[in-house]
Amino acid sequence: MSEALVGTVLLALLFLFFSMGLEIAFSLGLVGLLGLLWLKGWTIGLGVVGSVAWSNASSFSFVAVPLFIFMSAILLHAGIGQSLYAAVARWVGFLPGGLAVASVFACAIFAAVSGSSVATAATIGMIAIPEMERRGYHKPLIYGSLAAGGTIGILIPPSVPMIIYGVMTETSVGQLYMAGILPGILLGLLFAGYIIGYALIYPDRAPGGAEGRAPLREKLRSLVEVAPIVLLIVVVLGSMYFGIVTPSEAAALGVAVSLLLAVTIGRLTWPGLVRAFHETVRTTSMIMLIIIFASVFSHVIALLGTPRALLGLVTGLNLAPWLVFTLIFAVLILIAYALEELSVMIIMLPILFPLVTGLGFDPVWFGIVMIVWLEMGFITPPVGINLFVIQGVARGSTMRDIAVGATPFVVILILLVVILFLVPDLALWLPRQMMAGPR
Amino acid sequence: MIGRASKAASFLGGLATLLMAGAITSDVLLRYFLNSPLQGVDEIAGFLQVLVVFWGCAYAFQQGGHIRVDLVTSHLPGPVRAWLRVVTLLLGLGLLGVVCWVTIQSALTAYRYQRVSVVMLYALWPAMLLIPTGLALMAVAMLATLGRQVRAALGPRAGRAEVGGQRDEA
Repeated sequence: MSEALVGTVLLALLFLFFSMGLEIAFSLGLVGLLGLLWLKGWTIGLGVVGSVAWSNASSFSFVAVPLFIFMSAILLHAGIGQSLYAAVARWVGFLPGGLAVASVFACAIFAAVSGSSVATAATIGMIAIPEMERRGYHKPLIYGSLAAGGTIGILIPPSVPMIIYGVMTETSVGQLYMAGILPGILLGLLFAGYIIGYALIYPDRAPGGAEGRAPLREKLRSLVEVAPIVLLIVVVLGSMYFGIVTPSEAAALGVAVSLLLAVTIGRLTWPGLVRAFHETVRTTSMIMLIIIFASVFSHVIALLGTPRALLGLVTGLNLAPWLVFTLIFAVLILIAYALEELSVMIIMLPILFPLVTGLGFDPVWFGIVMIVWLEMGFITPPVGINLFVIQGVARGSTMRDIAVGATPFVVILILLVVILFLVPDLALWLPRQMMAGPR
Repeated sequence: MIGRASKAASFLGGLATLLMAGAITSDVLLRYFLNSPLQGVDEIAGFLQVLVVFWGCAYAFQQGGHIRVDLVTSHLPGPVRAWLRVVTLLLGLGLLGVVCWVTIQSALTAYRYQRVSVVMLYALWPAMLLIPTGLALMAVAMLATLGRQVRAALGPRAGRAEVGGQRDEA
């Protein structure tokens, strides 16, 4: 049987398993196993499965995944970062839509200590949502700004998806981290700009208040409250930027400092810590199982020579790279409406990465684009994870209000991709300035 | 009983994460301030991560933490979903059986040939055994769900739906 036919049958089987509701990790594992048995026979095929499971699970580079998830969980359960919202609101509250602008900026700052969009949206949302509801803000605006603001958590480092992208494609995670900072800041500004414009058009949907008129002394005092977050940012990002530690080591330092802060100034209790344990293990296990079985699957894809064939096919068409990129991105956006995005990224990378870099795009740059795409997926119904987070945090919210509120932010994310395409240095300038690290 | 076992395994995974953070932090501090790094921390952290990943997957399963696509199945009538879940649970169990068997074989081989880690020469087989033991625990949890699912599929018409496993929100 020809390789193309085998590939097609396996792919059809994969989508059959997905749609039957078999766990994504198991679907990948089963199809990968069948493919290996088919192509390589029992002994070699099974050997691959065993060694892939061991080498991925024991990889030191992946250790950053559980550690950054753990760090976010500690901060969430200790309530560290919640004072951030009030402090930011004191500074930007005078703007039209000031409380929603403060949500976005607080998310962007918290993103610098959190590797997950869920933890970011939940931490800031818990304080910001009741505050804005009390003030009579328009519900879609409240939910949209927080669902979208939360996604900045994975663009501004640390970022769990960036670790996965980096390790899977052998791209430097440290460089990816630096590359995410400027686009992350720009995204925060774009989000804020949209909110200000919206509040100017519909002033009754974002009524003004007193926090912008706080005296300077109070404003300065609010800075003291955010000192712990600043300390964490310096430890985690600073140590990486100056090449003192690897991302996995920075994650461990982050856990240590967060625990210290959680015990001294936070509200971390023993039950809270145990909850953080379980959340960390559950999420890590879910992500790593998908990574392990996806790499069994991608082994088969590589054996079939699919990435090479696809690159040959695309270059043979002689299309302009921007056109190919646009087509790929359009397909990705459609997929984001149907499937859980992080799994899609893990499944697609072995095929997409050789194709995109083969066309001459920068690996770090493409990583940032993939992260922005993930952000889009996180606020896209029906499976956008941040929409569910906001629904969980905001009592009495409807999925419709949340999805409607998030939609304009999806458009802004697409705009960011266009900007990144036109000005790649937005992502690539900062990594070039970074000092060489231990790895 | 199975629930308690998976929760305990997950708790151990949490402790392992804590230990990992502690060991790596000590290594970094000793290296940076005293210029005397701890040897082998990378390897130990890798072993601990194997524990987090595989001893945690039973708990993740019980919490509905392993992501599934419900785009199609959510439109199907309850009884169809009930039987479809029986099929997917069987498929999953089949895969787990194979992977369990393979990883036991790898651990046995590692034991027989005294395979050790690169830097510290730690014996690899104990850490390798974490994989099949964790997967076996997950298989037991899935078997329990399978039992309940079959009963639900055969039971009164109103109760014929998918059992357990809420949507994941992590």
